[in-house]
Parts: sequence; C-alpha cells; structure tokens
Amino acid sequence: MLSITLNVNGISRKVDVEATTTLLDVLRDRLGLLGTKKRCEAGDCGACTVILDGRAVASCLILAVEADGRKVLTVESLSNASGELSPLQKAFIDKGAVQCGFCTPGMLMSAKALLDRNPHPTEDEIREAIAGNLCRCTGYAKIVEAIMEVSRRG
Amino acid sequence: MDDEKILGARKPRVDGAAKVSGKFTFPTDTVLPGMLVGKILRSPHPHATVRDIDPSAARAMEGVFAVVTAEDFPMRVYGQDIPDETILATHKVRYIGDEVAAVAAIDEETADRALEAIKVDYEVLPALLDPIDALRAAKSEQPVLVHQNRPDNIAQEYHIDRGNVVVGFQEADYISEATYKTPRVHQAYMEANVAVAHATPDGRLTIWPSTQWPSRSREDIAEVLGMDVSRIRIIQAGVGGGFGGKFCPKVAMVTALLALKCGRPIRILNTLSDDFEAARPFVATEIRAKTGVRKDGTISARQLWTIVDNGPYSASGAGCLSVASSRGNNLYRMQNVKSDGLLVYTNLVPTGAYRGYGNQALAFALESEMDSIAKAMGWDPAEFRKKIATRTGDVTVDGWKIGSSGLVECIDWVVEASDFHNRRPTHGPIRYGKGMACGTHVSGNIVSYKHWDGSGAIIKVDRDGRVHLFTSEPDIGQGAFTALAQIAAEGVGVRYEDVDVHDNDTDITPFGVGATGSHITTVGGNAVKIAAEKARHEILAWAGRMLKLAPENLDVHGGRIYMKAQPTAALLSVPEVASDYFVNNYIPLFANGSYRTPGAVDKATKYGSPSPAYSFASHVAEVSVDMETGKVRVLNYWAAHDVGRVVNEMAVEGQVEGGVAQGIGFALTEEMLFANGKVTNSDFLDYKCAVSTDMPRIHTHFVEPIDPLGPYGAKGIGELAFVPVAAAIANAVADATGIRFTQLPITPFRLLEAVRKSRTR
Ligand code: FES
Ligand code: FES
Repeated sequence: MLSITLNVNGISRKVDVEATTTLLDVLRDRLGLLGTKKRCEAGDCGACTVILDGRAVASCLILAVEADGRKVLTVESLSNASGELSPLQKAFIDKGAVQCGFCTPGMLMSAKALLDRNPHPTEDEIREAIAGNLCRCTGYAKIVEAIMEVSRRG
Repeated sequence: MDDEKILGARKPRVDGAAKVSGKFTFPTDTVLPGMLVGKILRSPHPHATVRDIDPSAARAMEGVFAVVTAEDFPMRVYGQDIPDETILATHKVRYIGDEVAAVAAIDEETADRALEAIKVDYEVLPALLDPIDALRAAKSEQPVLVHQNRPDNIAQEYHIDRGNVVVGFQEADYISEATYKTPRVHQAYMEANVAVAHATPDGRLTIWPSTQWPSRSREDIAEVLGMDVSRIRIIQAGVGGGFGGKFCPKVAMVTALLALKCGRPIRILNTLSDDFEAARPFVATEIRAKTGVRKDGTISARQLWTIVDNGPYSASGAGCLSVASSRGNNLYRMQNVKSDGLLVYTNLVPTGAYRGYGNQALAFALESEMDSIAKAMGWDPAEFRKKIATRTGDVTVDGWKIGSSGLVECIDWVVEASDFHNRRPTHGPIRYGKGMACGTHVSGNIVSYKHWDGSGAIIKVDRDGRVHLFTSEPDIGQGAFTALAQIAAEGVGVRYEDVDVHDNDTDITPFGVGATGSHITTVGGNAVKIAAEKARHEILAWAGRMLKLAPENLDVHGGRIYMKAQPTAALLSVPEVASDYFVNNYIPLFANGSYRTPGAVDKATKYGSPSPAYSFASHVAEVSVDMETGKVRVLNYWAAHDVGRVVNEMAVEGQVEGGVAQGIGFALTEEMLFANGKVTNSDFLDYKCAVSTDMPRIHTHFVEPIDPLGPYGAKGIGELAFVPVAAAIANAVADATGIRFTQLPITPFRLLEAVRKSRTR
C-alpha cells in the first residue's frame, strides 16, 4: 500500500492505494465520486474523463500514484456548493445534449478543459476536443451545440 | 405565465440536472453495503460437451461465498420467444463465452482466482461458425447439431405468401434481384450490463438490473427460478443506453442464483469484452430480394429469402427474423409478396435485437433495390417512391391499418432541403453523391410479449399538488420519462414542471411492455393519458364540490382551475384541491389508466395490424468518396420523419441525430470480427463507432399528421431514426461511384476492392 494525497475538487484527500490502482477506481470506489463513469478501462471511450492539472485525461489510464500531489477535477466540481449548475451544465440540459447521460460527465470535463484554455473555440475545435468521448445516443449534434452556446455567451 | 404549451415544446429532460451533475444513479452505480463480487466462468470453446465440472477447490477458498453450476439449481429451459437456453450450461457449451459456472467472492481478485480454480472437463465438438455451414452440417452423414432437439439447426422458420407472386413476376416489365449481407454488429450502449441482487430472509429476491423491460424481467426471472412473481422485486433507475441490447436477462439471472446461494448482496458487472462476447449483439443477416416492377412504376411482386444467424440461443432472434423478412413490404403499395426466412443456430455469439429488430437490415436490401430499379428504368428515385408510397387510410400487404402516413411529405421535404437532384462536381479523386432511403416502423407491437401487449399507468396527485407518475416503461436514455411527463401534465392540466416520474419498481409500478418496438410514447403514452385525464376529472369533481359549482362548467390548465366561460379568472389551484381532497379522504388522489393495442395478428398467416400507429421517414445522405483511399465521408444528412404529433421536439431531434450516428457506424465501420468463433475486436479501438468528427451536419424535419390512435396524435420514433440510414448512405455511395454495395460495412478495403474489380471489368 502506498499513501498518496490527491486534491480532488479543491479538497485534499489522503488515500492508501496499491501501485496498480487507477485514478478512476480511487474516485469511484474509494472516494465515492460515482459521477465519473467507467466503461472500456482502456482509454478508448472517454466516459472516465477528469481534469488533471488542467488537462482532460482518461482516469482509467492514470495510476493513482501518478496523480499524487496533483489537482483533480471531476464532474461533481461543476456545480457550486449550493448545487447551482454551471453555464456549461445548463447548456447541456437546455440544448438537449443529454440522453442516457452515461457519456455526459466525461463530455462535460472534456468540454470544460477546452473552454478553460480556449473560451471561443470553433466548431471543428469542439469536435476535435470531444473526439475521444464516445456517445452512442446523441450523434453529438446537441453536445457540440451546447458547447458552442457557452462559448458564445462566455 | 403558465399557459405555455406542453406538447411539442422543447422541454428539458426530467433527469437532466441529475445527469449533468454526476448525481444520477445508473444501475452500475448501485452499491449495497457488504456487496460481494460475482463473476462468470465462460466457455473457451465454441462447441463442446461438458463432461465434468469440479468446483470443490473454488468452494474451499477463503473469501469465496458461493460457487454455482447447473447442478445447484433446477435448470429450466427459457427463451424470449423460443425456449432454448438455461441460466448455466448443462451438458454442452455452445459458444465461446457460454456461462458454465459463477462465483461470489469478497473482491475481484478472489473471484478471479476462484474462477481459475474451477475445473471443467470439455470434449471439444466441431463448431458451426456460419449459418450456411450449420444448415449443411445438419444434413451431413454425421450431423452436427447445436441443439440435439433441433435436427435442422433451425430455430424458427418464417413464411408468408400473399397475393400471387408467380403472376406478379409474369406481369413485371423489369425484375431486380440481389443478395444483401449485414454482419453481427453491437449495440455498443455506453453503460455495461450489470445486476445487483439481494435475497433476504423474508423470502424475497430484489434485483437492480439494467434492462429494457423491468416488468417482463420479473415474469421471466420468476418463471425460470420457479418463484412466485410477488417474491421478486425489480428496481431500476435509468439505464445508460440499450438500443435493443438489454432484453436478455442472463446477467440478472446468474446474479440471482448467486444471491440465493449466499444470502448477501452481490453484483455482476460485465466488462466491455463480456458485453461484446456474451451480451447479445445484433444478428447477422443475408437477404435475397427480388422485386418486379411494371412500366407504370408500380411493384408487381416482391419475394424475399432471409437467413438470420442466431447464434446458439434465440433471445430476440425470432423477432428479428420476422421483421427482417417482412417489415419493408409495408412501406410501399404492393399486393403480391412471398417471404421465406430461416433463423439458424450457429456457435457464434448468441444474438439479440438492435434498434429496428432487423428492419435496418431489410431496409438496406430493399431501399438499395429501389434505387437499382429506378436506375435501370430511368426513373427518378424520389418520384418512384412517392408514387407507390403507403398513404393514410391504406391497409398494407401485411394488413397494417395506416391511421396516418406522412411519407409523401417526408420525401418532398428531403428532396427540397437536400437539393436532391444536384451534385457537387468530382474533385480530383473525390466523388460526391446523394442517396435516398425511406422507412416505416411500428409504434408498439402486439406480438412482443405473450398476450400482454399493453401498458398501465398510475397517477397520484399529492397533497401539495405535485403529480407523481408511476409507469413501468423504462427510461433507457431515450427520454421516455420526459415524454410521459409531458403527456401526464397535458392530461391532468398542470405544468410539466409539476410532474415527477417514479423509477421502475415492480412492487409499486404497474405493467409495461418496456423499451421495445418503439412502443412507449404511443402505447405507454395512451395509458398515461387515460390515467391523467381521469385524475383531471377527479380534480374537477372535487373542485366543484369545494366551489359548489357543476364540475362540467370547470376546467383546469397549468394547475389553475377556472370556469370554462371565464378562463382568465382562476378560482382554485390544483394544490388547493389536492390538499382538500387529502385531508378529507386521508389518501392522495389516485387515478389508473391502461391501454391495450386494438386489433390482432393471425398466428399462421401473420396478417394483421400489430400496432396502433405507424411512423414513416425519408432520409437523404450526401457523401464524398475518395477513390484513392476508399474512404467514405458523410457530408450532410437530411432526415424527415412522420412521428405524428411531436411531443418534445428537442427529444425527437435527438433520437434522429443519434440514429444517424449509429447508422453511419452500421454503414461504414461497425462489424464484429471473429477468428475460430472468438470475437477479435471486443473493444472500442477496433470496433469503430462514429465519433464527433465523423458526423455530418444533420438537418431534421417533422411532418405531423395527427394519428387517430396515438396519444394526442403521437407516434413512435426510436427505432425508425436508425432504420434507413445505412441504405441512404449505400445509395449515396452508389450514386458517387456507380458501384452497388451489397455488403455492410462499406469499409475502405471493400470500396477499393470494388473499384479495382469495376475497372478490370
Ligand atoms: S473508461 Fe476510461 S476511457 Fe473508457
Ligand atoms: S447520452 Fe448516452 S452515451 Fe451519450
């Protein structure tokens, strides 16, 4: 067991992990942050996307020990303390970007990482930024629209 | 003002806030205290006799709470339509992945070690890896049979013969004939198959599965376990996608066995490869289609020969066979139709349904044929289709009673919007083309489940006026709860925001067929509408009592109760009435509704009208084809749908856009590959679904004939959105290249092969 400290959504969390434990498993199974989803466990679907030190990453590919001392943002960080949704989350609802919602947390985190570094992306840049996030329900149209909407308003 | 419209509005999903904040509990998020890990031991052989299973070493391991094999429970044979399966393999395994045993352990590692410790003695048998081989092997000197009691390796046959095709083909001025193939593809829902189960000392078994039909799951599981239905409780939150791939109750059943054995909460969670290799992907099809046309543009005869590769267990196979053998014949007017189909047992992964139940495979064949015919006859493909399109009031060749059809209007819209008759000029190696395809599908199907072809709904108006809807139609992401909440709000006379939809819980919610046959909006919606209108009636009756006015003179809208003659002056609110009702009766105001599809389908001839309403669509795809790399790109997509009254415009657009994305995968990239019976691409790297950068701009349009039997005129959308897509793309590729593809997917390799062949010809 190795003892690591993660800064998760602004709170410092100490956890004991095996060398092989993934960041995804720490988030879901140890910290109870079930918003981050697990599907392929191979970096191919984006369901587990979180933001690690400002970059969107597949948390199933990151070992927990690699994240030691680093800042992790999950979907749970997007609404504020009183539960008020962020403009990005609201746009996802208002534009119909959510269907089954299983890809949604990962999509939101990829979109947030994009908008944080590029507040006014082109449609192509948006499509590129979420190209690693599979969505089987929406055909991506309304997801792209929602992100465009935030960029327009922001 | 609360007077805004509810039906047709772009209402946000009822579960949107929970889903964007990561707070929504999916079946894979269900965690019970002390929950054990369940795992399944799967066959490594496509076909083998199981001589012996020795679980003793696994049972003796520390941290192992239960090991179950077919010895531990009576293994009843079950099946969705054809009984040919047991929960665990009894004497034989029939595909790589077949369930042999299962363990319950304290953690993943212990469960894995326990699986390794189970000794199974197999005697390998010859494997049937292709339906044609399987048909032949049954007839050989030493027949190889998947099931000993199925001497032909045929799970089911399908035959219809209407009018007279012999005469029809004699009358034909031109006959087109070709054979089309579609591979096994996967529904690739994003959330894994999972089940949590807990058997408690009171004799009850509670299961949290991921299923498209919670009501039916309870029935099926009770039957196969030999338990009373009331002992079983199915609880289900929203599911992370299904698309026809989550009907099979296998995972829930195995989990149930373990739960009964160990008495502790337990979960089986499929990995992605489990889902690819053992969770009922869509059948592979081979369809020979022959169509005769007269010079006047009418169809004189249509004949189909369909072979569906079922795998060893049938699940939705019978449904897929029947749809793939007939559905598209109802899209156009024709009298002479003959169809012969076989559902064939093989030793490949057993199969299930996928968005359209075979309609997409048949549409690929028949809509490709329509274009081939138009080309040969020098007809405009749009005009040809329009002329013979099924119209309102028609009774189709299979006996469908068409209460409304907007097919002609759909075709008109896509032709106009896509500038269908003009093409971009060829640019170097890049050629451009446009292709059309149409489709029709049911809105509910009375042959879905035994004699139960309807839906129930319960409305409770709580003391504070909130409307609770109890339905057993599940929301698997498609937006069922949102559409039903809108119908409930409209029916009761409250705002959409005042409605809560209760999760499926078989202890509380009534019966619903489930997310199958695009039935929820129409059949489930009718039940909700009936319950809601009864609640409205009760509210007005109680309001009349409170106001000492005749209820007939009152009405309610947006939660405000007023005299019909003075709609602007609210006299009471629904919360006021609900509260008064509650304190006088000690119960909230309840109302029930149920709806059953009228009509019948004859068992022998399959003639009849299986659905209250039928939806129609016309699509156009614009593609570019790189003749050097073989790459096809879909540049633009137009989809016009007749869904009757649109309940939620944003949601139906979303259904169409998602259907197009899956259709692009089906047309161009998706195909399960096998080596010696083993799936070789059971991951999202090698099984390629469409991603954001593959998608064209999608232009949607809805024509709204108000259907006489749909709730407020609404019809289904889910499956039809996907049905014509691959055909439209194949037709666009044919338009661009002059090459007709009869096999999906149209990969760069296949395209270049075809180009090479066409050049040497
Ligand atoms: S679960 Fe991490 S990318 Fe799929
Ligand atoms: S909304 Fe279902 S996978 Fe994206």
